[in-house]
Amino acid sequence: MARRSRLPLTVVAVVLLLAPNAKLDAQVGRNPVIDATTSSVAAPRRLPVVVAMRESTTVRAATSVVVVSVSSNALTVVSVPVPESIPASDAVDYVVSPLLGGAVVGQLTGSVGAGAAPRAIVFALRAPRRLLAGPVDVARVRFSTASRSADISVVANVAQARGVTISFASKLVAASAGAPVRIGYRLTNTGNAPDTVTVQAVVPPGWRVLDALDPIPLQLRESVDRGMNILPPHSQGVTTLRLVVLSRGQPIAEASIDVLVAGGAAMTTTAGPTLRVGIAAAVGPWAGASTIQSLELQGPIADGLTIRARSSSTPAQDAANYAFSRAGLGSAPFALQLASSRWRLDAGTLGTTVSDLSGVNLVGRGASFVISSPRWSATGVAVNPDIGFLNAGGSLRASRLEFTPGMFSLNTALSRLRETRGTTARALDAWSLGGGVPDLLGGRWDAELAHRQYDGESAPGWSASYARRTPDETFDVRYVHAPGGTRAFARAVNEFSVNANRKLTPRLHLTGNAWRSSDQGAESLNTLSMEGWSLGARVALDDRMQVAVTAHQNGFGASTNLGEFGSAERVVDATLEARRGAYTAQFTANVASLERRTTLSDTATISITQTAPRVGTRGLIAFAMKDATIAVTGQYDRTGPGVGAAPVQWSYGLRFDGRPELVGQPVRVDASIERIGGAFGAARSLMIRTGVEVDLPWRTTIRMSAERNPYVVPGASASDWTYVIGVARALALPRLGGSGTRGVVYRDVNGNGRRESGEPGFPGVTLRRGANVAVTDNRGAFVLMGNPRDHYEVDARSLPLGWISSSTVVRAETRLIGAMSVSPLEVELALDEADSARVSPDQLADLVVTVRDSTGREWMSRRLSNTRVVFDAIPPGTYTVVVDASAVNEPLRPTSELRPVVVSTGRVTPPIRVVMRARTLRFSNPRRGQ
Amino acid sequence: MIRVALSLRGGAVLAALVVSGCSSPTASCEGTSAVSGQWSYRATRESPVQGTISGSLVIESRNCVDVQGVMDVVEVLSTGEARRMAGTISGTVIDSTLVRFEAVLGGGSREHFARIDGDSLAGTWVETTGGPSGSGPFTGHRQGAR
Repeated sequence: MARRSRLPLTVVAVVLLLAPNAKLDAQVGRNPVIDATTSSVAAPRRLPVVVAMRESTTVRAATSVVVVSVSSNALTVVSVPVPESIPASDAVDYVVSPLLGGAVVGQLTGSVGAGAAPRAIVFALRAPRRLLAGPVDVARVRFSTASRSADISVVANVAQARGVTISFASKLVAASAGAPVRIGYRLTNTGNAPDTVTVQAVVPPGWRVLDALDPIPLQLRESVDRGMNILPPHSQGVTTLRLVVLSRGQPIAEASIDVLVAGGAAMTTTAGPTLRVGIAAAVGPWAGASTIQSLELQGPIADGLTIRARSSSTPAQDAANYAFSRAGLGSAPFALQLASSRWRLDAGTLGTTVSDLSGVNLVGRGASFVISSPRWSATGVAVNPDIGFLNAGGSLRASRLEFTPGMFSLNTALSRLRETRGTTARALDAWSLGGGVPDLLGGRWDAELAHRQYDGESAPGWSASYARRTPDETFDVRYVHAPGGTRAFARAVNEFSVNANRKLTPRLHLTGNAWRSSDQGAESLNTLSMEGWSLGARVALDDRMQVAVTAHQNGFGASTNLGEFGSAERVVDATLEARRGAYTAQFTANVASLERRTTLSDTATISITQTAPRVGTRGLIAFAMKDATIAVTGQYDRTGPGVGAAPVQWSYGLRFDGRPELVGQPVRVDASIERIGGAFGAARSLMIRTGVEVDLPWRTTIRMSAERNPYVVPGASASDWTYVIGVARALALPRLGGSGTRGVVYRDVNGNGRRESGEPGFPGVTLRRGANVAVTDNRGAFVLMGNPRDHYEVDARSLPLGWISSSTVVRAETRLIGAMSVSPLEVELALDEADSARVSPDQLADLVVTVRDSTGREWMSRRLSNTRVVFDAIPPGTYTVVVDASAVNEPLRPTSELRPVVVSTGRVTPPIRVVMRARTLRFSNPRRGQ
Repeated sequence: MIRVALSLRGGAVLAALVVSGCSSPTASCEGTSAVSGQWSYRATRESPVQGTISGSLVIESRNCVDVQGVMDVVEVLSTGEARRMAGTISGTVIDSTLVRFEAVLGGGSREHFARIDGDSLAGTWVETTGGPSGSGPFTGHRQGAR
């Protein structure tokens, strides 16, 4: 079987040395066509050989053909047998004449001693990447003895190599929310044969590809410009889209591009916040129907100020809230956030953490305020925890200051926390001092010390952490000692965790972590400790298949008034994941050991340990279509007796997630049905979920959902089905005050910095001022909000490649922004032939070459060699070349006056040649006084 | 497999455990019958964020030691967020007065350890999803006749 390899030349050399003594598989026979094989250098004992040979003889010379199959740019060993027309008793000389530069690697001349057949010479062939698919003459081998000679042509049959590059006209595309946008891209066939490809977009949920998947023919070396129309959702922000090029169903290239979705048809952020009003009704396993109304306000309300607020009515049934969340209208207490670039105010129901030692999870109604600058920040919190419980009360007050002078940071926090919920009371008075070093020993170090006073006790607390992040590795370790634990506003008394994640090779990924925490003095638990660890490896076998193996253990131990109880679970998981085309499959098998420990201590001390093995498997096969994904799932678990678990549990089901189009409007559909068995209530074991969401005119969305959960315990005269319907409408509100900056981005065709007739507007350019964003319309016009006295920026990524703006930072008063197309200009330096004898060409390396535009601005060059410099990107215009020879020992000057150079948009400027002369030599005769 | 270690006077409790664990299916199954039935369920979450949990608990006897059933609850956190969770439970009766069971809810599991006192149930639960997580006390009251 033919095999090819890409191996270093050293290996090739070894093979070539072995070759004369190696046994060959084929011989040149009398038959004019001989079957043979090629083999790779990885198998030197089974050497190569010829695919076919055609022989034609003359009286003294014979010509044959050896055909070998090669891959472009791959290394292939070729064996050329000594023709049988040359007697075995004769030693034979050979000469290999390469017909392609650099294609033949190995000894080109030599001799083969006399001996019985088979005799052959061996050399390596590297088919250059530029070779087209098909047969090509690569070498000619002449065998000669004293009496005769024979020529053999070596023909490489180059296999087709697919190669396509995809690139975008710009790095950022601006789009309007809910309006189609065209993503322009360029395909270039870099393979060695014509190809036909398709381009598929990988878009996140909510996005739609509007174009069909049409094949795109690509001739050899051909570049084509195409576009894809994509419909973004109504939400705003920057999203990364991926375009994948497929040839014969296999991905061969891909590229990503950021799409900025701005709100409103004007594609500017002149609009104010969006108010979303929603109402929903649900019927479920409770008596009667339940309704909810919700309001959500989000977006900029004034220049540099954004708002995020929400509120909803409280459903009569807490149980109905789950149903409302399926309609996107879940119950939420009032919360308000106002934010600018320097401060943030939160009010209403909120939860916050001051630090690990001075208070975590401070939840209640109140406010928090954060103000920050590059060197410091301050936080204040004041909330009352009088929510969620009937008899809740108290006050939570805390503040924190942080300074970041440069190489380190310092922080201090002060808190006074009092909370009563029913019969439970918690209290903490804490003062902490902490610091951090952002870059020491490859990572960030943080530490905190605190004095904690709680429950009539006081004790010091401390914490330390180290975190390192690199592209191939993450590592963090953390320890917190917070006396008082959860009853004093900490997560636990002691917490330790370590996480490590490392990519050893591009295909091998290792992960591991361990944690342990212990707490005491909670209302219901005297002590509680938890611990666990995991260790895993993931190997990508190829681009479409990966295997992961993980071992993990976790458990807890708790002490209560009834006794102690705990559990532990040790598991080994193995997962295989494969992708092929539109199919994805994932299979997991696991083996586990379960342990339940119980110790009773009321009338006796009895320890009971229950153990059981568990094995399980689960699988998923998914098929992705253009607008939908279908998946089949299955699961089976078997647990041994002893721990009270169900002996067998199984399930299988079907999932559908699609975005079909209905009357021109996208419809989002999700549905799943799962049959569950083995556990409780086999008769009620069908779990069904389905939902439909449709966008209607006037930015109205309607969503309907139905769900049957077999584990729901329905109330009297109610079913285990839940139905919900919700309608939401988004309203764009005006912004308070401020008119922003109105301007135009135009194509400065002649690069003179002034807009003139014939210089059109530049659409799709993004401009920013703080959090405000604007995108130019078809005429290049924009309205950018924010303080008109502040400067703003042109997002260079939104300009097509080859275009620049005169400056990315634009002064506040600027209203016209020119964007220029840039071109390279190359200058070649040479010495006049008359001076070449006395001036070294190396002196040219010390010449400084610049060009001056019509306004007198100077542009610097980049040196390519001693005699060539290039101006990589200069705008269109007329330039004067200036050569500064002051650094050269021998004074040099151009042979003639340098003429102005005209650089035009979209036109390649030919290289400029500048010939330099040394000073004129004057010879004099002192005797003559000359 | 069950291992029992008695380190002190272990009279009544051990006898009850052994009797219930070794009895045949046709025996009276005093332990599991004491806990079988439909219960109202109320619990408190003490950490990491406080909250209340309320709903229903249905327990059936699978044999004289093991129980199974469903739990259907709504958890309301002090942040105001509420979520409904319904899933299976399975466990064992230690004796006629003590029960341990695990509820699989919302993608995690919660271990419960409680004392049965007639038509009342009181004990503690611990979330065992991995890493420091929730815990708290809970109570149950039998609904309807035994």
